[in-house]
Amino acid sequence: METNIIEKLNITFRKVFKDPQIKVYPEMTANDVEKWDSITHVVLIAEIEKDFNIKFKLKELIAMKNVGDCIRIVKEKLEN
Amino acid sequence: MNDKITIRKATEKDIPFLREAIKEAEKSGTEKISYCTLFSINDEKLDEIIFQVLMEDIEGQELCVSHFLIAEVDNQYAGACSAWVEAIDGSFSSIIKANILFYFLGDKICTRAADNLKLMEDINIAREKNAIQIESVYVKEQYRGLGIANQIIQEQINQLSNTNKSVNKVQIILAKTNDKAYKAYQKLGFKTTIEKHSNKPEIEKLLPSNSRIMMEMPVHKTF
Repeated sequence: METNIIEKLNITFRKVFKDPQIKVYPEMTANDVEKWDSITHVVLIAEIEKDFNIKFKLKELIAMKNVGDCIRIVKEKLEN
Repeated sequence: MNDKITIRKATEKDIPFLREAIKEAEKSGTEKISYCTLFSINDEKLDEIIFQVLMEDIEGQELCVSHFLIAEVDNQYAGACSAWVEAIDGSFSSIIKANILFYFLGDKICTRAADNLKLMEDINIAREKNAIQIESVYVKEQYRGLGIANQIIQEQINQLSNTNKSVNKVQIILAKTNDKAYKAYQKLGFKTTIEKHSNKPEIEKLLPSNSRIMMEMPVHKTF
């Protein structure tokens, strides 16, 4: 399940940041991706919601400190 | 007059005044509120969003009740100022705020605003991790000239630097055209460290100014 989420997230990240080489990893934050600013962040969250067919709660968005948190939250949402 | 000024922490009950402070500070002496122009929302919708965001009290960004101090003169609202230590738990305020706006405005409004937001890239100034950030400085017109803004800012700096050992500087971002604020911050000891300008004509329709500056001041710890 987690591998599938990571693979799917890779596709979303590549689409949003227009970088075919990008690979997500749990410790990754906005600081690690040059184009990851507040504007692309909004697009990224919207695309993740669309691609995984989920809707984040506010506390989930605030709790996401890195990609690892995002993977965990997406996994929880898909399981429930 | 000075002895009648009191400064205290804001609470949920102060939200209507904090909303006034946030909106007036955002205007920088103009009639443009960037939240309305950038996201194409009206004043009523903005009031609703600010209220909802403040009720959530999310730390690490300016729209947080717990980060505000309020100045009162004779028990009447006189001024307010928000301050926090940037990225103290690892998340930068710009990302936290993006999450909040995305949640409350919805993906449609945010996606529609993406082009407007991209225009701001030229004048975007990054806040520094572990630096105290000052935002939404506002003093009601009838109380201006009493040194209230200076007192609240100083109190914010004292409180935050005493409780956060890693803090060594204070930063403030403002529109370059906001002369009064610029001079007041200079008097307090702030110096300009970054200046950004946009030549895109559309910016002037969206923001109070097409230039932004960051001013900084070192923190002299009192402990």
